[in-house]
Amino acid sequence: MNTLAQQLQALLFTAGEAVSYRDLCELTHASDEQLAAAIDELRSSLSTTGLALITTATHTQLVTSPDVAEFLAQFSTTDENELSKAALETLSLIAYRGPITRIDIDVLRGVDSRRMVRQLLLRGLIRQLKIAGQASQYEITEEFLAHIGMTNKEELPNFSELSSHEGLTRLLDRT
Amino acid sequence: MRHQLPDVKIDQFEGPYDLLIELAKQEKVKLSEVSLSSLTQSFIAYMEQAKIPAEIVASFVIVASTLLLIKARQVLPKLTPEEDEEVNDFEERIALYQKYRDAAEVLGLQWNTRPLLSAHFFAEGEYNVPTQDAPMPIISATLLADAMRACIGKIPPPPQVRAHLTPRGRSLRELLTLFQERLSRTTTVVFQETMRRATPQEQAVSFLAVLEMARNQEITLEQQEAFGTLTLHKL
Repeated sequence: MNTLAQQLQALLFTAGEAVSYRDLCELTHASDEQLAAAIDELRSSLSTTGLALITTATHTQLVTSPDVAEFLAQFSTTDENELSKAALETLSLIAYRGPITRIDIDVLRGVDSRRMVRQLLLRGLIRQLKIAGQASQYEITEEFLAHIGMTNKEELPNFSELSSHEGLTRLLDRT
Repeated sequence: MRHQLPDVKIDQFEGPYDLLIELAKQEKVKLSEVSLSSLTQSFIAYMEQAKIPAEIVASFVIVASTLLLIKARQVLPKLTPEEDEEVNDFEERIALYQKYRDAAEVLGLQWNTRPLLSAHFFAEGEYNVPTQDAPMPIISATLLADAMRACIGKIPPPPQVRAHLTPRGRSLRELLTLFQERLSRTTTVVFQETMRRATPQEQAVSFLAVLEMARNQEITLEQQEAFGTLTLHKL
């Protein structure tokens, strides 16, 4: 007998990279709701292991768990490329408020962020969500979460406050 | 009096809000309506002297004009409701921006310190997607030719021929027996006639055999002239 959660784990293990929810539904013939439940099941069954699930708005990935991150960090050479202050700022806006349009990022930063967004796209830290007839939105990728050592953006510091800040919502609604 | 350029370094993509916060930090004031107006002079001085790229200078001008509006409000407190709203809105934005700026700082500290790793992270020969950081290697005709020459230089020379294998001719003893047999059937043998298809080596050995027979007094040799016909006569 194999459950959807088992199939999911096997698919993510063999893929070795982030897989979109759409692809997973197609491969397992599951509905969106079934998949979401299976992801929850897999996440909790992994909680006592050295592995974890990273989940974003569109993708999920099987990675090593944050519990062993410090242990593993001694073996991996860290990426020399540090992010500039402006890049981090743009990235944190996308992380806390994503999916977010570039116009909204500009409003919040008070400066044109076009080049910053392009740079982050090239580094694979954010992805563009295209919606027909609307401005593109930007959302963080699994790679971003992996770099920051988190499996989910809700783990970001002060997430609930900064993601649904009253003033922010008011500001963005006005534009 | 010329205001001294604030010692604040602003990256091309760090905007006017960032500059404002840096200035407030430097002058050790909290961001409020009063302090914002006190920062106006520094902000405008920075804008005048720093080379802000044309593409983002507009965003600095907007902030400068708002700062001037705040300053004006303190001198002439009677503003229109729209202007009041603009000032409040601006303060809100700066305060909000600062929250995200702080959050970004936290992320910066945590960046890449304890990364989560994907499957096969430590596997050798991992496929890496080429990025813009991977420039095209320099290739020129000269470099290719040099590399080709170097390859050719490594080809080992053909092996030197050390020895020739040649068929071993008949021995002195064998040829001796051959002549003895012939002479048992006839009394004379012409040496040259027996050597028609013989190799030079065999001819030499045969000649030795003949000399041997003569020495043993089995035969006598007759030759009219140098290099002439050599005849063997049985004794």
